[in-house]
Amino acid sequence: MHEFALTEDLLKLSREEARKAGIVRLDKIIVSIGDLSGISIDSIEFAFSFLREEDEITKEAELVVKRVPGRGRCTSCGKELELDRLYLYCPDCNTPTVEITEGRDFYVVSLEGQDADELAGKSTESDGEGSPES
Amino acid sequence: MAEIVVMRAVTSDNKLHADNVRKILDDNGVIGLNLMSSPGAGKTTLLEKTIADNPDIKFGVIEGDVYTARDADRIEKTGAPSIQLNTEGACHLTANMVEAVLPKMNLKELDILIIENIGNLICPSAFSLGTHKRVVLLSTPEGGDKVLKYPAAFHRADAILVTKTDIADAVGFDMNIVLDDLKSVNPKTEPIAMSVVSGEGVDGWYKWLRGLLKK
Repeated sequence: MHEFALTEDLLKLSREEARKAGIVRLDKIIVSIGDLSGISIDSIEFAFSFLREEDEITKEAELVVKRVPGRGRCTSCGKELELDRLYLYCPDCNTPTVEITEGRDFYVVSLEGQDADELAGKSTESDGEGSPES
Repeated sequence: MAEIVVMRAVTSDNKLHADNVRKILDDNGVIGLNLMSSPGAGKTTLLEKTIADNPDIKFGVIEGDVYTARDADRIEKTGAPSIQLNTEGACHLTANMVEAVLPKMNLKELDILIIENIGNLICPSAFSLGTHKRVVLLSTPEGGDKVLKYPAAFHRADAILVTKTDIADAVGFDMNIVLDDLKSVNPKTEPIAMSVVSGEGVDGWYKWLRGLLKK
C-alpha cells in the first residue's frame, strides 16, 4: 500500500503549490496516473478521501484522476505500441527492445481553487442568499 | 476561481532527497546499492556472507525493517558498520529516511553502502533512494513465476540474484521461467544464480560488485 505515502506526497505538493499561488481553498486537484505506474487508483482515492481533511486548504478538494495509457516504441523495428503492462517484447519483430515512452508517471497536473478575496466574496454572497428574511 | 498548472511529479519531493543522498555518496566516493526482495529471500544472509568473503571491500549497511533491530545486530557481528531504520508500519523506505541517518555513517571509510530495503516486492521499487544501483533478489522457494507477477521490481534492477539455488530441486524451482520472463521485463540484466550455503554462483555476484569499484 505505497499509495498511502504517495497520497500524502500528492497532498503536500498540492498545498505547497496552492499557497504559493495565494489559494486558500482548493476545489479540485487534477492528477494523471500512468497505467504502467503500478499505482492503484482505487487506493489513491481511498487514501485521499480522509487525508485531505488534515489541512483546511484541501478539506473540500475533489480529486480528479486522468489515466494515461501505457505506450512504447520498439527500438529494433520502430513500431509504436500500446502497452498494458511492463512488458518489453515487440509483438511485431519479437525482440525484447521496447522502450516505454508513456504511462509510468504520476503527476499533479493542475489545481483549481479560490484566493482569500474570492472566498470572502462568495461567503458574503451565500450569506445573503441563505438569509430567509432578505 | 484560480487555476494553476503544476505538472510536478508526485514523487518529486522524494526525488529531491534522493538527489541529495546521491550527492553525499558521490562526494564521499561511496557506491550506494538499494537491495530489494520479498521477505525471507535472503538479503541479510547475503550481506553477512558478502562482507565475510570480501574483507578488502569496506562495506556499510543501512538495515530497513518495519520493526526490530535484528538485522542490524546480525550485520554488526560481521564487523561492518550498520544502522537500523525502523519504518514502524510503512512498507518501503523513502529517500528522506536514508538522508536522515547518513550523517551517522562514517562515509569516508566506506567503499560500498548497501541499503537493505523493507522485504516487499511491490512498494520499495516506486521510491528512489539515491543509490547508484538496484539489486533485486528472488529466492527459489518463492517460485520462478515472480518476475512477470511483480514486474516493477525486476524491470529496473541492475543486478538480479536468484538465491537459495541449493534447494532449487527440492522446491521445484524452474530457472527457465525466470530467464524467459526476464527477456521481456529486463533484457539488459542477466540473473546470477547463487547459494550462500553451497557457494554456487557467489563469484559472479562478487565480480559484479567489484566491477562497480573500478569506475
